[in-house]
Amino acid sequence: MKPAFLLGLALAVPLPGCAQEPSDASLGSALEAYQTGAYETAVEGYRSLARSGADLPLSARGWALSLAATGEYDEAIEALDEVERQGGDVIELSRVRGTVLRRVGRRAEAEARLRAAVDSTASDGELARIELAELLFDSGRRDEAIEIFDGFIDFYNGSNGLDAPHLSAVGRALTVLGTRDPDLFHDAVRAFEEAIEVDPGDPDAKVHLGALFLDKYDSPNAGQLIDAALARNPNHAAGLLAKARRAKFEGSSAAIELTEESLAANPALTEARAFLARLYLELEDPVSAETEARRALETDPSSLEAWTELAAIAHFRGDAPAFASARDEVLSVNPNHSTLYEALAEVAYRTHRYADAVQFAQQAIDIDPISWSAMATLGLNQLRLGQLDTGRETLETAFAGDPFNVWVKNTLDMLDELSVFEQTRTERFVFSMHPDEIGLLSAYASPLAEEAFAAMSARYRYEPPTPISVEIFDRHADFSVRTVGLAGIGALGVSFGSVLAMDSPGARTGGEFNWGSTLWHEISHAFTLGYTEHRVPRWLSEGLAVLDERHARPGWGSDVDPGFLAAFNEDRLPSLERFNYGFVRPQYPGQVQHSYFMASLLCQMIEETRGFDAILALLQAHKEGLETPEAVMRALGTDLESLDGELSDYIRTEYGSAIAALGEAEPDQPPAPGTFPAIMMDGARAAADGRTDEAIETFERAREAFPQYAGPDAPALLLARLYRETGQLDLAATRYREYAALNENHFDARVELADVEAELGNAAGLQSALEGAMWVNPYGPDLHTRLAGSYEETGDWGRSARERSALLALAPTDLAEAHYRLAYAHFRGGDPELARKSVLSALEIAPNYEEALDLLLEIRGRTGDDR
Amino acid sequence: MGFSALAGSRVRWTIRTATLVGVGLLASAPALVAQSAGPRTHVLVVSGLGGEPEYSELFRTQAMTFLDAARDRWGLDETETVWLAEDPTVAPDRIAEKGTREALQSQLASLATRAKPDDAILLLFIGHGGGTGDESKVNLPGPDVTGADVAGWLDAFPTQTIAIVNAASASGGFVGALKGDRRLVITATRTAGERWRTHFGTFFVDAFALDGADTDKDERISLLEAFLYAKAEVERYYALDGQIPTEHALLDDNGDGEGSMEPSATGPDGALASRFFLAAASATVAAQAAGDPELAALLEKKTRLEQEIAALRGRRDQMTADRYEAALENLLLDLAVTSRAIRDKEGPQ
Repeated sequence: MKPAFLLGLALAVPLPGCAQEPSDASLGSALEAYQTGAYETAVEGYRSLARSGADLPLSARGWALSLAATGEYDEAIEALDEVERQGGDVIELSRVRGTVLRRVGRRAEAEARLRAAVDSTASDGELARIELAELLFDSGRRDEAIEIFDGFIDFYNGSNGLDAPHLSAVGRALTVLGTRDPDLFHDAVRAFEEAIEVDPGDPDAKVHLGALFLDKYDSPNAGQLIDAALARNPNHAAGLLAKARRAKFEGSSAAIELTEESLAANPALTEARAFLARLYLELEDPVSAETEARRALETDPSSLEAWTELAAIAHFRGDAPAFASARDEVLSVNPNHSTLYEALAEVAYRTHRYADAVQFAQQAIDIDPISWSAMATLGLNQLRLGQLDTGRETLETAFAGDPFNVWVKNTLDMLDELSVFEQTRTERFVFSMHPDEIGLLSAYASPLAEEAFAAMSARYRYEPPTPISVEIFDRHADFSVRTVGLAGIGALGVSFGSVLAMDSPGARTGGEFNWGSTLWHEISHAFTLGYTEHRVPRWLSEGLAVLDERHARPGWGSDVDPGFLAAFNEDRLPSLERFNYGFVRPQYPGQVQHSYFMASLLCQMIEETRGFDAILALLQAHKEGLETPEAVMRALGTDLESLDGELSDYIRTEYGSAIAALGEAEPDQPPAPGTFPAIMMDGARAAADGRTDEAIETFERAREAFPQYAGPDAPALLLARLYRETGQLDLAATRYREYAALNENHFDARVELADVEAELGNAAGLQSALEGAMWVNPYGPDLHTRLAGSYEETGDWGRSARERSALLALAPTDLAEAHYRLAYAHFRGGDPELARKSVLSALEIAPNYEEALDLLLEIRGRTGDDR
Repeated sequence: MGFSALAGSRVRWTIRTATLVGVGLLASAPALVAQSAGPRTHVLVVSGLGGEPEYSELFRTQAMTFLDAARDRWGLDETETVWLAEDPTVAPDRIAEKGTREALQSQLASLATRAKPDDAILLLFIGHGGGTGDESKVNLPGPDVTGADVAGWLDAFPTQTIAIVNAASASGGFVGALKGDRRLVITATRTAGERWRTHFGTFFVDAFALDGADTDKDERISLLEAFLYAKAEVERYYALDGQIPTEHALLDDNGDGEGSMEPSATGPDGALASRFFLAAASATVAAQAAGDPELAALLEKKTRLEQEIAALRGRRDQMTADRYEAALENLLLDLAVTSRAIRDKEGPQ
């Protein structure tokens, strides 16, 4: 590499471009139309000039490229043929012909044409050279290609006043070279920036630079450039595709729509077809994916992207012959196409097959040892398999090669945080948590996880590989990075199979979520992923996980909300055929949550109507590689459409009266009299006016109308509080319990219930309420003290010891007392050895602690008279 | 031992002699000295302007609670306490006079004439504060009082150990202004820039008025224990409330004018505070021991065992865990037996 390059770039004075510099107003108009996406006008303008022999070869090139911009490749070639028949300079048209031939997969002809332009020093020879280098690179002739790319550094340094297309060519060359020397990415950026400065009206350089930024994980800058290009040319197919890629990067559901816009601009853009296939495949919709991939092949039968997607689809389906065939197609074009395996790894990751992802990423690296993105994919998936040390090592290598990779950077930072975590083990689990939290949380998480394992292994008649690793992050950002490599994920937990990660209750504002049900949910995924060898579709895995939560504790598992019922009533819920779309590409706010709930209802319905064996049969069918329609047919004896109908009937049966009570909401109109919202408003007015009896009567009517409503303004909760205020404690307790069985997250309601239970003298009720509260916010020492005291009163010294341990883990100011009380609970619970250790801890801090000294004597069976 | 032992208060309302050392500051000095013959702790509480009735009431309550606890729980002679307040009429039998700057200066001058060379002084400010740069001041009726003002007046105490606790907002500047030998400065905030109302004062008072701060179970509250208790409770308050803490308490007692947020008995800040108590130990046992050789021997043995335990703890890192635990248990069993014997000798309290 030439170190002088940077200096050259810095000193270069951009001058107006020359290759497509319009020589008169007509050519200028055509160029303007081309750059603004008025391709028909551009075609007309260029064609008119070319046919009249004016401004050749620029007019002929423009004519062909304008046709190619909308995918009319055959017409573009015919245009070039026409000009050549009329005496046009074949060499001067070779580059454009080669470019168009490349688009339709006529690689050898394309190469010949491009070489002709390069060797004969056509006026656009350098532009031919970059096309040739890209073609060679794409065909696996990397050394040859790299030599050409490298030549662009000399080309730049030896030139003055390069136009925008040539500066872009330099940028394209440096983008490839940057893989070997990351510093060159900076130079690529500068080359593209100069191209933009030379011709601000040319959207191509902006799209190239935007794509480079996106490739280097800088989505905001990418977005600005791509949007600026599309503002100039809203029909820029590559720009629209870049925008779609950015949408995918951002996790936006607009990716499919934008890709379709790109294809509307150029239906023959094979990269867009292949990208759309990828999007469908990640939605676990291989049928649509294959359709798009094959359409891409209609344009370019040698399209590496399309064959790669077909290989991924075949792998997803478990179709080994089809996979081998597609893979061979790719490798026959480019034996060094590591991107094939990288793409396979990416799809494997997206479809939860992490071991496959590791295997494919390794194959990519075997082909191309400096494929840093494959290295990153390998490392990230090694982590997902729980191979923390190996994964870190791989990621450090990847980061050294590509220091721009924000996923890798974030993940390495996260691993630093994880390295201070402490571990605790149970029979089938290994928990990793921050030292400040492990003492507190493991006291609850460990028994719950074992309980979940026992319950699910009986239910599924299967045991996933153990130990199951559970990482509980005290910072949501770290959990997010552990999951997707970036901060900001909305999820609470994730399962990679037998490796689980989740937020600790302290990672979110207290009371936001139930960490017990979250843990249960993720353990369920470990079962369903393991059962199906990671072939369970998203909807089924999520539906079962929520259903399993519901079986675990009253109130756990998603609750119905009016928005879901409205979506159902308005037919906005996805059909079962497109069920996964609701999870991955939601069409309206809240659809993800609705999808979880709907999936859980479907699983619940199947279990209720056909038994859990039907669920197991469904899982077995997926394990064997069947797709959802076939799996449903085999396991349930019905087709998706009929099952859809069954589910609708089930929802109507379960929630029909609630749907009716909710009525039809009219925008800007008060709710209709007699509907649930109207009754609630009446009740609220009565309560505000102090008409308590009337408020109670009204809220009771609302409760009868929509008894499942679990929102924070649910009638059950409002009634509980009103009954408590009026001293009707039995009724208050009943309504509080009812509400607690609807809403798993409401901390205050559980504490209020505990208060009422205490007033009623119901120790078991108090304990149950506070146990529930701990799954929402376990950080309050007062509740632990209260719960410990209650267990001590009822002689449950085991649970008392757990609560005393929790209090100790909360690092109280009075550590000696905390140790002592724990020692006492252990002693009374029949564990003198643990009691001895705890009391020694107390006395080590406070040697004169009289009660502790007495307890030590008692543990040792001494009276004090034996001195 | 029944569970009922846990139900009551751990803190004895009658001061006994869990340790015989601990007369005022002389925690490490020889014991068996009646309070009347030894150093005393003088307490001067200043509750400043509330600005609003809610705060006036809060500051009055805090001061009153602290003084009640000092007298009732910790045996401080009421004649050794002085309370200056915003409005003396709210408790005329307790409040010495209106808490102005001049009154404070005058009270300190008076105290300087009464205090013996080995006595200790605790000056507690409760209220609102303010300040600019490094200077903190407490809002009093009339002119405010600054750290520099107080520092000047404390020159009248050339030999006494003095603890200044400023629980007001924006109090951090007192640390630098009042640094010195035999000086212990506690502030609710780390700078004069932390201006939001503080909660440190409430919890500092709680340390003396409620159970929970006596972490070494010696039945006394050192200023270090009170500081750590209040600090922890402040942190817990903000955490439970989901707020970002707007106060960060400091303690400086090594004279360098740099407060510590994590002081400890082993320093660099905290050693002096760990030996500063509100009140002397009771003279009861000392008097009993004087006429009871057997009790005196038990007390002597107890002191020796405590010293051996402390020495063992110091060697912990040089021992295996099992050996350390066994040695500790042996000493503690001996201590338990000895303590029980002392209690038997004392009779019911």
